[in-house]
Amino acid sequence: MGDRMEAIELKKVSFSYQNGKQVLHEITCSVKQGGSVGLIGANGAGKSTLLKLLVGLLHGYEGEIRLFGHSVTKKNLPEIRKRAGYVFQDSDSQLFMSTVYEDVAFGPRNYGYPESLVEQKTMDALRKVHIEDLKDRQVYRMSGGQKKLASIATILSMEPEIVLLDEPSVALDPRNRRNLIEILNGMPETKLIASHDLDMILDTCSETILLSDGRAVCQGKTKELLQDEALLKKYGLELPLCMQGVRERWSDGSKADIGTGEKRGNFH
Amino acid sequence: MFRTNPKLAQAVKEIHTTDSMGEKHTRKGKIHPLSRLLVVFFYILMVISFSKLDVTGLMGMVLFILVQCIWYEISWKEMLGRIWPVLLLTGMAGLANPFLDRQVYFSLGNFKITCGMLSMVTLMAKGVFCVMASYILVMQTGIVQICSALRCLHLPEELITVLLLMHRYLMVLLKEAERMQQAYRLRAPGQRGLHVRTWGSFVGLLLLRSMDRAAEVYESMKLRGFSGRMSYTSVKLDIGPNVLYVAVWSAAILAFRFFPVFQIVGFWING
Repeated sequence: MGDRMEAIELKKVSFSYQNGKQVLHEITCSVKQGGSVGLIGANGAGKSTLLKLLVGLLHGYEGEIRLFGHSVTKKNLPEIRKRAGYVFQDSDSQLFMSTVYEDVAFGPRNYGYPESLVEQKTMDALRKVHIEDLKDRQVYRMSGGQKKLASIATILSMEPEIVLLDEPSVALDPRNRRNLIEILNGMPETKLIASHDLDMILDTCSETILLSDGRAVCQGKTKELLQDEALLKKYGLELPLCMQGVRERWSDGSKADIGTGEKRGNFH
Repeated sequence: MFRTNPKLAQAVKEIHTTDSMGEKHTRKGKIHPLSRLLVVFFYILMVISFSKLDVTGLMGMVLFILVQCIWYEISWKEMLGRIWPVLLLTGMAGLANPFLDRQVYFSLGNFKITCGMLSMVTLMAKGVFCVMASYILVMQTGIVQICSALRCLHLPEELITVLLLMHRYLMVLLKEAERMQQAYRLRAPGQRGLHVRTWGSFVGLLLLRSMDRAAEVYESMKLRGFSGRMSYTSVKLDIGPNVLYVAVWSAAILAFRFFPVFQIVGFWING
């Protein structure tokens, strides 16, 4: 990992909203090309703000943000946005065309590709997230999990080198969440994932950045960082569920009997 | 049983259904949206060209609507259900005619039909036919493809983009209103509609929320390269079938316009 170039570099980045509230304080961190990095922190830590700064949805920051060596400035935005895709937390904000195909094709069309290439890129993106059979489906008829996958496909169709995901597992049921994790793990692009779902971060990210009150408190290997209960507690987080031993113990200390559906007597 | 804001949900569903029907018909046939737009535009021109007393001639124009509905499997019942406000509006617009123009045109027994009555009926029929034709165009083509047809006619790009964004904003607004009304009703069981005290805050909040959501949608568009021109699947213009479509329909509309179709059919049936 050492010799790979930096895909994302932040040097002393500070940002305040127009009301004067400073949400980021001199953040310095980096993400290597092809890496998968988690961005964790309590509510209001500045995760979403940081992601929005990277794609130029927010302006007026201090310090330096570089994507593949290019500064994020208004002038560079078309190039930056072509190389970095941002997946919104709420899929309803991401999906606005009437069918999945039209939505996924929206980006490639805007970049002026011929229709045959648009179709190819669209279908490739749909295949990557395993929803090619939903291409003609109306967006409003889809479940939350399907919408999330379609949102990711809208970004993948532009073939970005960096994918930024804001709370990707929110409102997903366990099966859809597992499906999403598998898809994210199969994506070769550089990924920066902002999430409260520490179990998902553990499953998808090799490195993690911990934010607190707009400051990057630490950056390190995910497995090491997420085992540090004292550190997580200090910054308003808890150990991932899988590390809390919930599978072995109930909250009253008795040993859990996981068993099978048969043993517990399912309704069907 | 508690029902969640059926009217708003129904409105959202209807817009989506209209969109999907339009896309289905556009993909299915070889007819370009421009051809459909031209035919409907020609039909509307012919409808408004009737004189104010030519009720029987005007009724022949309903045949176009009838054939189109059968051809594109559009429900009459649903269509009439949606356009009745137009009938009401045109009826109100022509309400003064029977009082202003009392010249007797013909009599049915003792009942005198005045020119004012006829002009009121003509006005209502013209309004309804024009709206029905536009409705059919939207149902068979969809708003997106209608905009692509307008682009073919070299209408200003800004106008087309505004039309498309308005269509999107309408959806955003309806969905936000649906969510808010749902939250309200869940905490106000037994209330019919919104209490008058909450109207102000409800509308204000709806505006703010829908603006936020619209801003996010716009950000999402910008991040995917949107620079003021909406792009969408363009339908290939196959000259042969489209020329034939426009020619056949134009001929039919001219026939409905200049031949008293119902009279001819009547004579033919009666020998």
